[in-house]
Amino acid sequence: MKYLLNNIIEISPSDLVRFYESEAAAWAERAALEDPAIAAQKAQADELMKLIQRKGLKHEQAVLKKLEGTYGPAADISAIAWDKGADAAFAATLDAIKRGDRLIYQGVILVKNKDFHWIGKPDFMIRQENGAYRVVDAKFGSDLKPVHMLQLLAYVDLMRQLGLPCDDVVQVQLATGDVKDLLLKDGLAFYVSTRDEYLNFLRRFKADIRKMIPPIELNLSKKNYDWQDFVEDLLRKADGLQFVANIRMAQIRNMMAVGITSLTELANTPVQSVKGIGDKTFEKLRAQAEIQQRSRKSRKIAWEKIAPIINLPPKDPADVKFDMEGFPLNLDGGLEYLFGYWFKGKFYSLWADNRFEEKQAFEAFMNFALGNLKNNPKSHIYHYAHYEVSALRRLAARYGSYQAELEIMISHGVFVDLYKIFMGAFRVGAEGYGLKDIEPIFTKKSRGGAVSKAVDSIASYGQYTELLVGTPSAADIAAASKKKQELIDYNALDCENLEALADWMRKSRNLKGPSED
Amino acid sequence: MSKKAQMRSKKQSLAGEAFCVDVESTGLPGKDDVRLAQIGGVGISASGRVSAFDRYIRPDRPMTADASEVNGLTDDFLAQHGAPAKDVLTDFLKVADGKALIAHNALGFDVPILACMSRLYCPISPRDLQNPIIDTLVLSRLQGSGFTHRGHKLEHLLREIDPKFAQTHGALDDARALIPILDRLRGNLGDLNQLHNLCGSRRLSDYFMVPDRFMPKLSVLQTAIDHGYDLDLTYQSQGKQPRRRTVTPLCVLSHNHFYVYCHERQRIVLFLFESIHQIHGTSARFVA
Repeated sequence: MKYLLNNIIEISPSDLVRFYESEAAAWAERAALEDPAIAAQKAQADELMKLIQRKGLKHEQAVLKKLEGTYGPAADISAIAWDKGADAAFAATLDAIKRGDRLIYQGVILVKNKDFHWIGKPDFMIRQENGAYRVVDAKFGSDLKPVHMLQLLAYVDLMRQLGLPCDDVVQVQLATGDVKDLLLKDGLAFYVSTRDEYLNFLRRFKADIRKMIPPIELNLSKKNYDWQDFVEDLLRKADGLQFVANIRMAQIRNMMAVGITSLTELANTPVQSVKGIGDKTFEKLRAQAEIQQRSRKSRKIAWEKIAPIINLPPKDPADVKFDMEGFPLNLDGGLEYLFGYWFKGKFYSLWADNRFEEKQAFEAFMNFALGNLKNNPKSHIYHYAHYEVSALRRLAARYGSYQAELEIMISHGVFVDLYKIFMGAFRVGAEGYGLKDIEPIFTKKSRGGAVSKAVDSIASYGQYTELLVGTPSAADIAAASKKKQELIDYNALDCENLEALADWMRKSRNLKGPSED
Repeated sequence: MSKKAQMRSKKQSLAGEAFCVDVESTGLPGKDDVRLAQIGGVGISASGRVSAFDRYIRPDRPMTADASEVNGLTDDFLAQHGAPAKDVLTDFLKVADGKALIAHNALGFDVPILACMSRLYCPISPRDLQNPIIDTLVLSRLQGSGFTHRGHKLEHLLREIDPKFAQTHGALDDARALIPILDRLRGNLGDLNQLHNLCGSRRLSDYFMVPDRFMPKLSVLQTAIDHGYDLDLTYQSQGKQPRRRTVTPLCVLSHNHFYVYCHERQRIVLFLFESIHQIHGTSARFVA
């Protein structure tokens, strides 16, 4: 989005997609045009974003190569210089269409309406036998998403406004190699309503931040694109209910309806019942807000025991603490690249760079776990949240290996989810119940490593693989093994902390009332 | 100490007694009707004393060309220098006597072959074979094992210990080469007990145990393995009609697979537990 001459704003299908995903991000994008202070808050692409961009570009190149194999060399509009704006590229695109070129790459479509100018850049346009062009986008990902439809239909809409011949099918080329055809008529109503809503939003726009959409619609778990930090900042200033751990958007709306608009208000409210929320649930959320508020004040995470600790097995010398790391951006279902476990006072890990090694690592772990269980029937495998068990199940299915054994282990309660046990017995003044969020209450070790969040680990692993693509230099290999070691250290600390958490909970067994440490 | 108590104490801890072993075969298990051609081994006592075991076997199957190329053994050579399988295996089991068996790819190759052959040629009682199994291949793949991850073949590991290392030939050399590898693994990953745990806590006797989840469905199979009886069973390979087979069960390879000697086909075959339809014990004992 940008200002053209004559105060006309140029918008693109990506802006529409941003609006659909997060009104707050769309607002910020628009406001940035008016207010340099807001523009300055736009995030620079972080490592993960850059990684996704690079992967996306690589995928696009692969699709180009594939399509050129079928349709011959593409009319490459991306080669046209943009020094005088998009017009030259647009003219070249029109020429290619008039010539009837079979494949157009990075074509540019301009539609100059009274108040807004649209610019669309579909990845590919492929001429069909009837002369109509089919819009095709390369999408890095393994699944179709509603926004794909939105974006492709926006291109078609622009072409139609110019009277260019369009096919009634649009196509997405996914990173898995899957090709998905979508019928225009299936998405038309969705597209038109979203587009009109967006245009209305732009026409109504006021740069005054106080007139911005109410914080009720801000959602941190939504995709806020480059404006995630901005949105979080706004929410912080508004002391949004969104920061109450484990609250849902529907619950926030119900609370706003009765005038509870911030975490502090919830913490101190005399209200005992809110329509649409069960009384018990409401009390739980209120208590959660209250302990978070208390923690903020004391700058120390408060905690209290709210119920007896149940289902925590007694300690066994042969217990295993287990943590896996996966890389979701890998094609077809992600790669489980690290299996780490803490066993008899030592940390062990298996690393996988590809499917073959993933299978080996999975089988080696299962072999170890089953053998250990046979010799030590009272031992357990501790983990935090459901990822490990889901991932093992996925691998057992993928390789047709140890399926029955795994199910038997699960049904016999061999796997112990410390998250579930902790959640049931404790309330903590943190904004979430991730292992990293609750660490301060049971361990004094702090995470100083390069990888300290799960999201960091994804970006780090991505960089690791990129360093090793093709023929890496000695420096690349050294950098990659450093990254690898960081990831292993991060995993080792997680495993170690599982042990510390279990021990801490066992010690807390006899605690009764609320306590603050 | 009674014999039972002795066995129990052996089962509980590994005092450092180990037996590094490498076997050469006439072909690839699962693919060929494989037999043993050579056993090389190095025993290490708790005090560090080393003793060698090196025997050739006169196999009752010819060497495949592929195997010959790998191990350099020929039918003529084995006919001249080999002893009957029964004698060599009996001696080997006596020498290895409950010690931890260390081999590179022990879980996938050396130990299953030793187990199959023991069953086929020796009147052994499998439950007595309590040797813990330690697989240097499995261990070398663990991060922090002291070996980098540019290949896990024996020669790769040896080159990491000694860059000037030249290819070894024969089972005894390979078995001996395991000693420095084992030392490095012990230094980095833990003592023999821990190494054994990391390899899945398997013992030689486990290769004669039908996995728990098939009991009691396959208790007939277990009884046949325990007592050396043959079986009549109906077996269905993937995509094929069920067939009746008379087999001698030899050893359990993994949680899914086991080896049998199939009398109809007169060769060793790999079976899946799940593919057995019907199973009946016989009173016949197969003698190789």
